[in-house]
Amino acid sequence: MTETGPAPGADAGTGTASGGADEPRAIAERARSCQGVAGLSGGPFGTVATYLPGDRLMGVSVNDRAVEIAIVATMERPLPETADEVRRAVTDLAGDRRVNVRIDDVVEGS
Amino acid sequence: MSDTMSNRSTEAGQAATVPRARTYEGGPASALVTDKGTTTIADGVVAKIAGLAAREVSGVYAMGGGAARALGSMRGMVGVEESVSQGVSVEVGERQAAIDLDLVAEYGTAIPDLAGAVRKNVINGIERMCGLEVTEVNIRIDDVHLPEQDRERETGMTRERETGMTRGGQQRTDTETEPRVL
Repeated sequence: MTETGPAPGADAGTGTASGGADEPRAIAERARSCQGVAGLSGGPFGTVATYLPGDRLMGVSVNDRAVEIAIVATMERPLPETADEVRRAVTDLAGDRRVNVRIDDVVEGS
Repeated sequence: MSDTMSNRSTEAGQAATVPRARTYEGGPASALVTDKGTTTIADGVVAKIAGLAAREVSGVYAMGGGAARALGSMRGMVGVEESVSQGVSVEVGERQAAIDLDLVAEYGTAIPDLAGAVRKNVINGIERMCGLEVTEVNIRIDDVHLPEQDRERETGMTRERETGMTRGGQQRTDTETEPRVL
């Protein structure tokens, strides 16, 4: 939250591995709170994940070029709308990076 | 001889390149590919939505080829829910999708009309829910379900139920239920 969001060069300088422990968590939290998101998914082989000391955060993968978020969506609204909302929700955290949203599964209802 | 061979090989090469990837660059603006990032929808998601949309149409009795249905009922017996995407196979690109469906029609439906209705509902469902353009929906009617089959099975079922009840097999009666379309 305190880091300067829209400065990707500086971001890359601080290093995404060491200083970025809060960022993926914040992204995951925001993605999870979007309407139409049932939860986060690890992707087909659990590859969409952030490896943190003592923890593995499934569903969010961050590097200095792109942010990848894998979600399980609900059928209550069209999937592109859900994906757009997720993208908008994390846009200030992502800065200039692309936010790729992948929908790995759907569940009925909310 | 060598000519025909080479012809054939080039033809084969062309034939191999004809069903090229159903993604293309510079297509119409899509809700999925934006300059801020892409949205990827997994094949399984498209298959689920297609399966649900196809089952909604009345006249569709079940989905899947013989083997898939046999396997599905086996899975039903061991308690795993029958898959929604049974009988559906999809190819999904960045902007487009193609769908193949295997289904069992109810006897007494006009199959071309049924296929048309299924196609329409599936296209609507996928385009609205996924924002993907549907290039084709290929439908294969694997079987026709006759009403007599139900009756026969029911009499067989009651017989089995009676024997099952005498043996005190409670779960047996539950698992014998035909995997019906909702």
